[in-house]
Amino acid sequence: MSTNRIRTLLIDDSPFMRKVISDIICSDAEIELVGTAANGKEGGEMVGKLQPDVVVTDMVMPEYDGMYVVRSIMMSRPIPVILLSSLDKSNQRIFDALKGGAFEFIDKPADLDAESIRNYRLLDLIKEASRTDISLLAEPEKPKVNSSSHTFSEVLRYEIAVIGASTGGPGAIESIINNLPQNLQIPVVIAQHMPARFLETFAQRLNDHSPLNIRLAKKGEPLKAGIIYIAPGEQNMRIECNGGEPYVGFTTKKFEEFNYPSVNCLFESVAEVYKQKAIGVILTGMGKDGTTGLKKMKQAGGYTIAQDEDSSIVYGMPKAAVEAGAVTQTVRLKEIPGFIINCL
Amino acid sequence: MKNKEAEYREIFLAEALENFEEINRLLTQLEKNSQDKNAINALFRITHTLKGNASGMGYTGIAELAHVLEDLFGVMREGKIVVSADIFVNIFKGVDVLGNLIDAIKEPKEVKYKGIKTKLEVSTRKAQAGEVAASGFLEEKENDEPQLSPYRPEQNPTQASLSSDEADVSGEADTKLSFSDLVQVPVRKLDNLLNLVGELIIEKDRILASQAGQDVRRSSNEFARLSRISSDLQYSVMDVRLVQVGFLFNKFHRVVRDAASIEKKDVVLKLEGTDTEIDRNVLQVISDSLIHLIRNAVGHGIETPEQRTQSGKSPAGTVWLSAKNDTDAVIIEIRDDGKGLDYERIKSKALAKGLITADDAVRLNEQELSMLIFEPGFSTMDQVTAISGRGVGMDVVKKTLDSIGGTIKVISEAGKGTTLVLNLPSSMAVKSCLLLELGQEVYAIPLSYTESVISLYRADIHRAGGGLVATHLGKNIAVVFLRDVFASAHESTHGSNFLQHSFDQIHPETRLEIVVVNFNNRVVGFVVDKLLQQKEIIEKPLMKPVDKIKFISGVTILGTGKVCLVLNIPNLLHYIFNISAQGRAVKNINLN
Repeated sequence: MSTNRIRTLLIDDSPFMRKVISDIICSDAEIELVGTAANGKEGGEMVGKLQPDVVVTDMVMPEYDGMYVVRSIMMSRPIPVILLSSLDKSNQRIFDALKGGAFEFIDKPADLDAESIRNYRLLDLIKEASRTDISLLAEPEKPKVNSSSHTFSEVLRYEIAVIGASTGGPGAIESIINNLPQNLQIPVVIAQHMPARFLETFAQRLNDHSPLNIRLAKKGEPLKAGIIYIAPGEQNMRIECNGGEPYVGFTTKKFEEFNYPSVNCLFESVAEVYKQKAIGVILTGMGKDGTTGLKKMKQAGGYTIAQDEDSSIVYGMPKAAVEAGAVTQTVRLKEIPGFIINCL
Repeated sequence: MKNKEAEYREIFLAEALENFEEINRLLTQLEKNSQDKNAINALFRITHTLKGNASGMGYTGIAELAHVLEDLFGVMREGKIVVSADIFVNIFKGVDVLGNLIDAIKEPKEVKYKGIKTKLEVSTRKAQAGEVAASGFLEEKENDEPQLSPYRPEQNPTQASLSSDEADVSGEADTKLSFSDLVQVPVRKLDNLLNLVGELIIEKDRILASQAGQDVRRSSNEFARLSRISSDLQYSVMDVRLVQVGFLFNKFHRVVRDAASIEKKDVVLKLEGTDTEIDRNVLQVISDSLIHLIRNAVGHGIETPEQRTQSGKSPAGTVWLSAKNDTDAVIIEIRDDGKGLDYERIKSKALAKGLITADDAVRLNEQELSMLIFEPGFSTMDQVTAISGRGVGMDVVKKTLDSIGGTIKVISEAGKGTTLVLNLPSSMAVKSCLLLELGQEVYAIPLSYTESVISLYRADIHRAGGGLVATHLGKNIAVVFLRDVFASAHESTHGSNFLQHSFDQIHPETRLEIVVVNFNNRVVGFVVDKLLQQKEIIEKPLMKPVDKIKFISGVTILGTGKVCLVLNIPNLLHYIFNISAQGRAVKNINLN
């Protein structure tokens, strides 16, 4: 009965899912399930009473849904909230909830055999959530969009910027994009860990809020300056070049750390194609995807940046990259856009 | 892992069935008012949950079908689809298949669902067509990423106004691990528990009886406590088995809807007292009967809209299904505002079928006539319709009720409607019984059949035909020596007047103890040797090879260790009326 166990509250309206998720949570010695609730209202009350460290909540519930849970928790006593989703299509509400301070979302387990349960990331998410600095989630900064132009030098030192992110990434990426000048002179390619069907909405939302052109990358399209490409999640994305303009390619090759989209895959291809002409940025996220790719970029002469610990919701991927010596410079999230621009 | 899987399966199944009913209920609601946003939202949410759970369990059929339904409700929610009768036909079909798929988990069978799934997909896609064209963003997508779905309705799960009826889950902060407060237990485990409690009660009675007389003062306190705890335990276990009738009633929205649409009638179902609690097994036993009665109310009771308008009623008929507690029993009423029973037609039908004689036809009152509809092979509908069936149902309903000690009564008013009143035991496990002695054996008669206990002198009883008759409360009742019935049954060599056998042998001034039982308006006074006491017993069914014994419904063990047989009153009466039918003696008396 260690007091250090992570006190977790589960909210789901389906008794079946409550049972399944409870069993998963209880299987980990480091995590303690302090209670379960059948809807958002009850869940909100139990948060006050039980003071859990982490809340795991279903998104779609009668009357008081996951959005309500996130709002009420963030207003009263902010703690990390993990959203469970089984929405097959992109759902705006998930992003609203993320923006409202939710830590991360995860699909409900799609299979209950031992193997799939072992690979289910929820337990790791809970642990990461318990370690996160809640103030990073609690006060989502007012989106301030940079609509001004930047005077670029005539010859740019770098021809592309690639960004890799996982947990906490959507917020970080939004903040970076909002602070890039609207006359951006290079293409930016982003690999964000997320179920494929959400990435489209993710790109759409970013595009709606920014003067820049942000969209999912399409097979074979040449990279153009000023456009921000999001790697879709059906395959791993890589940048290819046959002597002419670099263009978007895909591969079903699986990478070790994370797949579809793999940050390593993208970074490695950029290191090959652009060599010293690329900037690599590794942002907040669980695990260590991106480290080997970033290292290759650095070895090829590119400039590599990692988000610093204080501003990272999960200081996992940046930490791995720093420890592997793959990073040229550690930068606070707020300063990353300016830093990139100043590098050019 | 195997165990866990089985456990998940059971929980999933319970929830899926609940979801399925809720879907049906909401659909009928939506069909009446296609603008009902709350219903659409709830439908979306429920199909969504079902899909998630099913895919977790690996039930692809359910998941896929729930998914297309979810999509369809998603589109509906945004008002992008014209909710036509056509679409409802498909949705209902889809939901039926969904139900079959869920059933197939329990009893594996092949269910085809792809066809209806495709149909529903087409409906959804048609509705989406405009949307897709409007969004170039999406069209481009389709070219190279075929695995992405080509349409993406926005999903804003706005708050559905349906309250979850799950049990409250409160926090248990201090326990090491906490689980949901709601435990789902298979019924067989409860049955087992109840059995054990039954044995405990019997054992307790035995101990109490064996200690009786021995140093009462010292031990009476302990025994009182033992008594109290065991009876508390018994009632707690019984309480666990109670479920709300709403659990069953909610299924009937769909039954009424289907029946009404086939009959081309307009019928509204109204539920009352859905929170009334009843033993789950009772509910299970009567569920088919209720379906039949409800369909009858729609098929026979409610008139067509034209007929209704002609007789000055609103074109839409109403069927009420209500439940309420009445001491030990639960009363379920099925009431319709239809045309009521046609007694003349019942009479002629019964005559034609040879169920009654011409004499009877004149003599029978309305109440007695109405009971004729429960006779095997009776049907008043000239035209047999798909819904009301072929008249094979009502006698089955009656038999079912008999088997659990329930009764049914019909009240009808011409032009105003018919009410069926079902009187059901709230629990099947414990029966209040009257214990009596006959030839050194102890028997029990369930109190649900006993009307009164009287004591008469032989002189008060008279011969009538082949039987005996006495006057009780101004009414003539048949009197039968239970001993004679038993003797006749196993000798099977009964003479013409065997029912008067004991009567002939006793002294004219003998005082007779009589238990008056009533079943189906047939009243008989049973003469017994001695009345013992009223007692709650736990009746155990007869096991093979003696399970076919007609006069005994079950057994229990008394505190003395003696076996006590529980008399099967319906069968006993049936037997008595049958053997005396030749002389018609008893029956005629009864019908007076």
